[in-house]
Amino acid sequence: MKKKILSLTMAAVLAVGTLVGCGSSSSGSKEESTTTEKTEDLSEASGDKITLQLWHYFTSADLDDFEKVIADYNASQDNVEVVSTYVAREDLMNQYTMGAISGELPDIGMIDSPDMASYIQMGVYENIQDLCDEWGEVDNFYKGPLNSCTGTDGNLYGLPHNTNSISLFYNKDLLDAAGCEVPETWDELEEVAAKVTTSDTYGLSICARGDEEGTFQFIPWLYSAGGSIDNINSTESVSALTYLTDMVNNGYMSKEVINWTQNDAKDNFVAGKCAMMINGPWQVPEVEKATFNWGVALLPKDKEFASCMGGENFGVCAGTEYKEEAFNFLTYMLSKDVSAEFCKTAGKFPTRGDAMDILETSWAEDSPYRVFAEEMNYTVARGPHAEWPTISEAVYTAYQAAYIGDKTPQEALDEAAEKIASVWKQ
Amino acid sequence: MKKKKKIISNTTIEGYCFVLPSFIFMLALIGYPLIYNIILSFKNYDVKTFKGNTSVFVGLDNYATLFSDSTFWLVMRNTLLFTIACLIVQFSIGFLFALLFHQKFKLSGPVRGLLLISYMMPMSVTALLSRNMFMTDGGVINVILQNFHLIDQPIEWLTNTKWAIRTVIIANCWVGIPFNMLLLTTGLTGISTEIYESGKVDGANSFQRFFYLTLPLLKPAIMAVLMLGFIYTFKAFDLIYIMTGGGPLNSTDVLGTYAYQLAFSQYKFSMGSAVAVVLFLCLFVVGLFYLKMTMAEEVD
Repeated sequence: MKKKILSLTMAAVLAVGTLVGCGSSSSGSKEESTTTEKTEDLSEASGDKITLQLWHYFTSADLDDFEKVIADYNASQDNVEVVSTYVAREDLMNQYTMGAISGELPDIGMIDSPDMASYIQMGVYENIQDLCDEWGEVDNFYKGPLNSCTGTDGNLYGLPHNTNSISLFYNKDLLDAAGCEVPETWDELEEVAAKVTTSDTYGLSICARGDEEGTFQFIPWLYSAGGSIDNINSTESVSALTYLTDMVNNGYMSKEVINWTQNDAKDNFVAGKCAMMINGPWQVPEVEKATFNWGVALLPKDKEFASCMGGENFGVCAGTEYKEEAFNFLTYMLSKDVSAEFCKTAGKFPTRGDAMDILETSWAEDSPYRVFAEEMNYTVARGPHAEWPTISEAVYTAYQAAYIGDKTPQEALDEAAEKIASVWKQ
Repeated sequence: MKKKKKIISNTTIEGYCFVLPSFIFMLALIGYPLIYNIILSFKNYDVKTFKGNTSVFVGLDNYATLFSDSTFWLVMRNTLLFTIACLIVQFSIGFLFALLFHQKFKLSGPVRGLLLISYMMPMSVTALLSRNMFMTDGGVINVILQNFHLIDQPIEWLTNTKWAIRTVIIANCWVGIPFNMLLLTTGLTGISTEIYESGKVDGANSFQRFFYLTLPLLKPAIMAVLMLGFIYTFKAFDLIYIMTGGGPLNSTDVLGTYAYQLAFSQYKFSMGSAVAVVLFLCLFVVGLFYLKMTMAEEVD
């Protein structure tokens, strides 16, 4: 009997490695938070300064610009020291989830705009409506980005930090060699793609991964054809997916796009393996390294121009002791001038009109940013909906099934419509 | 007689004292999450009930949803296919390598050491490398195969639902072969050469020596390798997550990646837990089987 119990427990231990495996990232977060606690203790001991923890996922090019904003703020006053911690985007989302359970959240947290609604619902962010009212500058912000920070109760739970859209990058040299004009409609796009596609070069590259990035890139096509998330299996929606599926089937677009991130798409474009790509303004500094002539144009349209709104938000995290101080930092970071300056160097767009006005004066007449700024007029927002991840999953499963030929566009989107309908029902 | 009994109980208590720290450690770090996870799988913990933890017990609802979902059965099938295929390939090739390098020839040591590189490499590195090597256009594998005219059209290693699972199996075997080889080599060195010598004297040829001496004597090592291999492969996560993320269309999703996706991409925490519990139960049965066997061996 004893032996039996022993063997039972040991079997459990052997098997449990799996569950502990899943939890390994949580132990990482614990380590991190203990170090942050330590720094907090240290700084509190060394002076009366308040330390605010900030989590973000700015990488490479943007990181220095962002660190500069924080350094400037820390130097500008003596009361508060903002300490930033980089966490990779996907890990960061997990950290918020686990932090909300264990109560180990930072004071300020960055988040991708379509995910914000879910995390507001999960209680990761503080309601800052009253502080925003007091501040009185919220009216300067654009409606779309601001919407993504609004909870179901109509209150603000954060402020949009930057916004963006996606447009068409084209390789001027390749287009000229094939005797093509820059495409403005879907028909022209297909025509140009057909002409520039060779054995080494694809006509177009996009990101069609099975994740949020892929959904972000699919939405412009959907809305340009007159379709929408609500009517995802309408004739118009199906025509959008059919168009893209044909691009793959005709060999104008690599099937590999289903594994490509937007960065992979950019790498292929810069390497000259794709004559055109759909991407955002944050890639401009990287594309400038290309050895060929290139340009940016509005995303070609079917019925109307459309693009998808991207961007990041910042919020004050729930349970912080220093809500006002944290909000204070947000107002500094998002003030007209600081925001404009950051966006200028980081290749992003500010979320407030007055900062955009400043930024625009700094652009050259033929700056690619002007195209992206114009594209902003045609952007569609994702959600906001607390169950957006489930909707997004329905969308990316559908287009992936169509691209790899597993289902026809109609079948794939019918299935997506069913999944999305079940979200509305709840 | 009486005195002897007392000695035993003393050492038993002492023994328990030595085990106690690790027992507490495991209880806190393994027992607690395990039980918490099981409880979670019976609740409706998701985006809506997360705040203020307003979730309630819903009995077997999550499991009912799971078992009626065709995706779950696809994932289950993938997991079994992945595990069994990996086990067969890596065990048979690993065994051949173990036998080969057990022969004392020049360079057998260094070459065996080199083979271990793939086992020592971090899984994430292996996964990233394989992802690039198996790209359809311009991936090294397709380029080589095409240059040798072994294939006409590039193989869609990771973009085709049929091929993707095979590709992750190949990548996993690359890591698994040296692991099997290592454990089996240790088993082989444990067999005394005298046994083979007396076998030779009795007139057994090399096949007979392999099937009637090596295999039976190596049985404990073989069973251990197979069981551990099963457990490690069944709970695969990092390799698949990085190589394909479970795609395209769940064709490479295994229980581990599927649980992660449900819990952390779609915030259906309870559903994710339910998948993790299924994963746990499968391995629990295998672990039980393994222990029963090793204990039977010890009694022998």
